[in-house]
Amino acid sequence: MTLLTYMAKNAFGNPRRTALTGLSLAVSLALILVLQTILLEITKPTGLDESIPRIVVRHRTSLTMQLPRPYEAKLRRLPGIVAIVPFNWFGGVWKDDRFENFFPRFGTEPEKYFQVFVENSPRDPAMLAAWKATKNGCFVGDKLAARHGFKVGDDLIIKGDIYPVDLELKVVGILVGPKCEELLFRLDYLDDLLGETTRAGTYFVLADSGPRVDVLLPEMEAMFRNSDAEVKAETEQSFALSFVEMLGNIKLFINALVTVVVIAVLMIAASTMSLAIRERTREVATLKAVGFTGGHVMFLIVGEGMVVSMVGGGLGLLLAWFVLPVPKYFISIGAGILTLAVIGLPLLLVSVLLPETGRGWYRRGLARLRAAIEAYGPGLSVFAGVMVTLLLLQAMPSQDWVAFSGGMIQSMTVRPETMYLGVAITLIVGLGSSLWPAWSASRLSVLDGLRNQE
Amino acid sequence: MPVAARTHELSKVYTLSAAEVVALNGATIEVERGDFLALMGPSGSGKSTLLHIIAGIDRASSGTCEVLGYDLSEMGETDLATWRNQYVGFVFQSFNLVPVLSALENVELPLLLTGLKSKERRRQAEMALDLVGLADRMHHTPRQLSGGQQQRIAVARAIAADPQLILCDEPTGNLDAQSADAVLGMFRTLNEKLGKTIIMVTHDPHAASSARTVRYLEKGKLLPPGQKPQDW
Repeated sequence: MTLLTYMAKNAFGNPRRTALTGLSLAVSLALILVLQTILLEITKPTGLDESIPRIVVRHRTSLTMQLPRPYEAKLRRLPGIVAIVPFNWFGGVWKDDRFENFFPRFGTEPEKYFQVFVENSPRDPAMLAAWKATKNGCFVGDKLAARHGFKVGDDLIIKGDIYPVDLELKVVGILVGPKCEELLFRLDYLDDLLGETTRAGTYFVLADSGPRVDVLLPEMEAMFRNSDAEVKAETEQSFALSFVEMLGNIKLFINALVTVVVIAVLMIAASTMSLAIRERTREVATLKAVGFTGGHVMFLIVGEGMVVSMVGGGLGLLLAWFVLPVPKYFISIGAGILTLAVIGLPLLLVSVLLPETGRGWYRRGLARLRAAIEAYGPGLSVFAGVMVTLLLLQAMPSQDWVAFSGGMIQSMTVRPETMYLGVAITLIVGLGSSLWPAWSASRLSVLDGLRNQE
Repeated sequence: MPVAARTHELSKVYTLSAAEVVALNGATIEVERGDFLALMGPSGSGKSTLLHIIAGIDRASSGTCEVLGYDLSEMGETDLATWRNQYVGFVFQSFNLVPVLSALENVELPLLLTGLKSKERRRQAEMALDLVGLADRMHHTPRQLSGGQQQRIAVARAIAADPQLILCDEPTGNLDAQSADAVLGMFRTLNEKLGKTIIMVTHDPHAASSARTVRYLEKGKLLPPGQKPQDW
């Protein structure tokens, strides 16, 4: 036997309590990782390469206001700019306004697009030539094409809702890259349909280096100060974050939720740990009587808390790691856990709250009910949870998050920084829940400990 | 004969609420190495308090206590714990085994602090279990053992680190007569064959009859050798 074996044996000395504490941590941690993954997916979307020095220039007042097209030529004159391309959000409706038929549609310029979005490319170089030759030609992202079965030669009609014209497009190319979810058409086609040169919603600018971006941002804004259309220049990542701001302070909300969950789990674990140590006061006293110092006792109890938290935290991390990337698993297992909680918690509450008073048949009836709940409640809850999970696994289609969310979510893979957060929370819960009971136990006098039980 | 434990004018006063309770009142005693001493006396006579002070788990209000050459009043809590681990074995009335550990692991517990390697610890624990006749129960947990067997495991734990001094607080108090005899027989063996010094607190004259020396306490004072309390 080693000290570690001793910690582990004590940690699992009361399997039901350890399982409940571990599971509460596992489920809470999985929930935290889900929330953090969602937050990261919103604030730092998958496919956004921060190493590419790209700038977004838009109207200072609002994204809904557009910029004059001559701005492009003025911006290009600034030193350190490699390429610039206008972008215009068309909106519109394809087929119908159902969510799964929604995808982004942008008007842009073919050659300039590939000069700025260097991480993307046509699947076949000849496709770019075809786009330049076809005014109503369009490119579709490879993921979008896979989702809707688009292929070169297809005709698409996008009914205008922002603009009073419909786009009659022909797919001439497939866009390949880390995040290709959009449809791109030629801006001059829209100009032709409208009979005028449209304004640009945004300009995407590629700078020659990262440090240059910091210099360019104020220069760009200064260039159009006091004009009719002042601009806001920001990095692509800040631009993505501005959408989050439009959603309200979701970051604060999610972080507040995570903090509350961590505190709740910490309190549950600490109360369980305190109870476990209080029940073993005599054991602590015995340890000290046979030569364990206060430091040894503290080490053993903190270690025990860490064992419980690492089992629960490990389970939570595994749950998030394996389940979250696949919507089918996530929904099925999430619904299973919810079912377990919805059935199990009220049963647990009833069994605890059932009075032990009364007499005769009433008292016997309550005792039988309590015994039945304790005997069958956990099994029933787990059975219901497993059945719901299995049924949903059978019923739900196998889709990735892109298809499942209609392109809103690119990926729900738990990122390394989220895993580190999970590990940190596990350690905090382990340490935080056991430090106080460990400190108290380390100061316990042998005599007080022995008398406590005798 | 060298001395294992020596106390001089040992006093212990507890303060309970506003009242002061005198548990020991000038107890002076010398216990020779190799002795098997039974401390007897009525409840509240101070025998357990004296044992606890000799074990270094309680401190005297005044007086001195020197055990195995160490002045315990000069030692801090951590040093006392280390000292107990090296030199003292303790047997309690209510066994105090760790329920989640097997008999072997319970015996190994004090050895975890000795710096011995894992194999050596196990070998020493097995030897101790063999000595108390429970080698065949080494993988049983306390719950799977009778009271007598549990106390023998506790004795094995007390002797596993080969201490010079074994202190027992009512070791047969929770045992039936047969189990008590078995445990007392073990103490005699440890004392006679292995030369261990044993100090045992008991209120049971039968248990005390196993000891070489019996000393009585009354109202916190040690009575002269051979003298019993008045109403005993």
